[in-house]
Amino acid sequence: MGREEQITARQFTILVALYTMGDAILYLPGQFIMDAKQDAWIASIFSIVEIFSVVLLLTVLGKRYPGLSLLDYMEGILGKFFGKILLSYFVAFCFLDVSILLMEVGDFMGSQIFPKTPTDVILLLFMSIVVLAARLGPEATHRTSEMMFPFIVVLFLFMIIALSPRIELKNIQPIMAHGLFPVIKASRVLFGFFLDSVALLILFPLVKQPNAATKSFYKGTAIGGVIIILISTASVLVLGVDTISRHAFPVYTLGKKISIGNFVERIEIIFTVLWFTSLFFKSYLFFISTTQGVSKLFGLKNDKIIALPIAFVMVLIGRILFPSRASFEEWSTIHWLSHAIPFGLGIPVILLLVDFFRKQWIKMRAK
Amino acid sequence: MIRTFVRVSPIIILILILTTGCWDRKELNNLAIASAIGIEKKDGHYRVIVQIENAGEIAKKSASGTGAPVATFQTNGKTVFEALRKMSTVSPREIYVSHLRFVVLSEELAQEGIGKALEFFSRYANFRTDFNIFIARKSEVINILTTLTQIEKIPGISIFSSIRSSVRTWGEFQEISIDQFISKMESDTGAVLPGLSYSGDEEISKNMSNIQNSLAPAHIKLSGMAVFKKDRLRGWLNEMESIGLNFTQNAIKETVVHVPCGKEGNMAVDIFHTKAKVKSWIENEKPYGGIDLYIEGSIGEIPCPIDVSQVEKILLLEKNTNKEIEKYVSSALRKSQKSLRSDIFGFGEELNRSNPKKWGAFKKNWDAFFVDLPVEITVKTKLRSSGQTLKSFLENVTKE
Repeated sequence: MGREEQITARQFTILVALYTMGDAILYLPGQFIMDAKQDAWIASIFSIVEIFSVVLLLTVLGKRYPGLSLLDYMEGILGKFFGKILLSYFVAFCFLDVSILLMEVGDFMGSQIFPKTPTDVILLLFMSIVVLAARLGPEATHRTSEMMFPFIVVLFLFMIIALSPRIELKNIQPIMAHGLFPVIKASRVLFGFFLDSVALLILFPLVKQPNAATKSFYKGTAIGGVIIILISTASVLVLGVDTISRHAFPVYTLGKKISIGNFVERIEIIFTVLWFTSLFFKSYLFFISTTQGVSKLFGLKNDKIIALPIAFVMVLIGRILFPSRASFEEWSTIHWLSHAIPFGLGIPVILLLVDFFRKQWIKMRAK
Repeated sequence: MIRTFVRVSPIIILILILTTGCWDRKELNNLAIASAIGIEKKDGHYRVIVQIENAGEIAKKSASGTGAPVATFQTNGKTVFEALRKMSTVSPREIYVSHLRFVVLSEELAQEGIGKALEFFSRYANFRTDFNIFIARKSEVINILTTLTQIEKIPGISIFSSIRSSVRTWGEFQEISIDQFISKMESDTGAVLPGLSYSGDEEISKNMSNIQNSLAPAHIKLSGMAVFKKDRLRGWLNEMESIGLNFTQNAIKETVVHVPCGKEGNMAVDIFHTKAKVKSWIENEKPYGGIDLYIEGSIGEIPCPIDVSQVEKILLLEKNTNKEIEKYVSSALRKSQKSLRSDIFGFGEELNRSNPKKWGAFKKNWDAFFVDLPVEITVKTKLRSSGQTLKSFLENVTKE
């Protein structure tokens, strides 16, 4: 593995926040309103509570093996055979996840910004940066995130403030007209987005103090969560439910609404910058999960040499799996939860249970 | 040194080529910038008319230019998009729609339903949402798009500025963007759109001589508000009704209303601040509506010999203004309830906000309920000033 790579707690916080924003900031407002309608903002608040419970689960698991990554103790807990099976599943999921993220990039750029540029070109460019980051290693990448994060926050707040004159309180009335159930049902969306956060346990041990890492896990989720609450609330307040439901990328449409004195206008591309940054770090996370998982699976010494070939395959798979927005829409709204729950909750729960009973058994035998 | 250069230079060249971002480039000299688009429907076809800015003519400093500042092309197509692309058979350049100022739809199309024709405008990524939509009122779309205008050389920009300034100072119209219009169409509230009409000499209107005159023989004019139910034109509001409607929609920045001040005639009240609230509630299982208006204005012109420096006189005039504005509003209300049958005030939406549980029962037959909805209108006016004079000089000149 060479030299010990390390990241600071602050960098981990930022990565978690960027991961939480991830692709969610572009899609969430649209998916929240499907069930919650004008109460999407309440749904977003509920969903933060839900994702905190996931964080709790993950940090409990992470703290049991300080200094070791998820991939390391997977085999340790389950044994070689079952460990490899779970690892294969993990790798397959992360691989697919990157393909999905790539598809999102392609769909967005293709339909909104570069309509005539071939999607493959955009994807290859995007992927080449992810590969570069993976090859440079976590330290360089995390320092980049640390450098970019303040800009992201400032730009985001600027956008929200610039939108505030366009707020119409009428858009969120009546509040909770159909009771609590649709709101809670809608809140599952962010929960679903957050389910793949198991992969964060790969970076978790890179922070030297497990307690500091736990704290920054919560902090990062909170920062990302606040950003998601703000963007969902702003979307509903400014655009209203039916405009959101009609647009493919409501947050981008939201950006188009900004007009300061008929002068500062058409700055919606800033939302794209934010989204691209968070999406990049999310892709990076799942990309290194895949490469590290593959190298673990086959006992390779260096996971960086397989980065490039895997990246190419990902681009191809993404193009094949999701040929259109409609197929993605069906996937993300109907199939995603059943696809992600075994991964996001199944893996940590299995590991925790097996680990718990094993330790009990060892204790009993010692007696 | 040279070896490094040789090794690095291909990378630099590659970066230079790859990062220029020229894939989707559009060269200005290959584009025809559309300032307005008109759509009519004839025999199952869309007839699309595009007004193109003639950049060469506009840029000319001297007035000696012989060409018109705009060119108009038209084609037919089964769909709007198809017709717009087919425009290349008559236009030498590619039509570029991002700077579109307005879309005008024929009245016949509006009666048939404009939803289908507008779908393209909300879907195609090159459109921005800041263009206006108009309905051609008792006029041919082609005449509206070919008439040359004075002061602003490009008719598209001329109309665009005209509605802007009209919204700011006159209050008869609303500037409605396509997404606002679509939201209204989808909701239970009836949508409205401003109308455009053409009047004058058809022969001269397309000619440069139209704008070489100081009194143009032909001109285009904003005219009334078209009322829709879903995407179908139901009818028109006249000037008074439009202003009445806009009062209730908080769509008036400034306007002038005439108010009787005595047997000598009408005074003009300059209104510069309005605040409206449309309410709706359920009582004894029946819906009720209410409109509260708070208005601030000043006396702009008064032909009656009234000493406006006295408080009780001002109070009297305020009362008259209340009554008159109520007439504006109730005229719009009557029209929308009795003849247009479209809830343009948004009582239904308000009912949904105030009583979402019961709204479900009314939603289905809201039209029937709306037609007979009892509406209470209360107007409160404050006349803040009387201009730079107190007593009018007329008191001394009109007496014999």
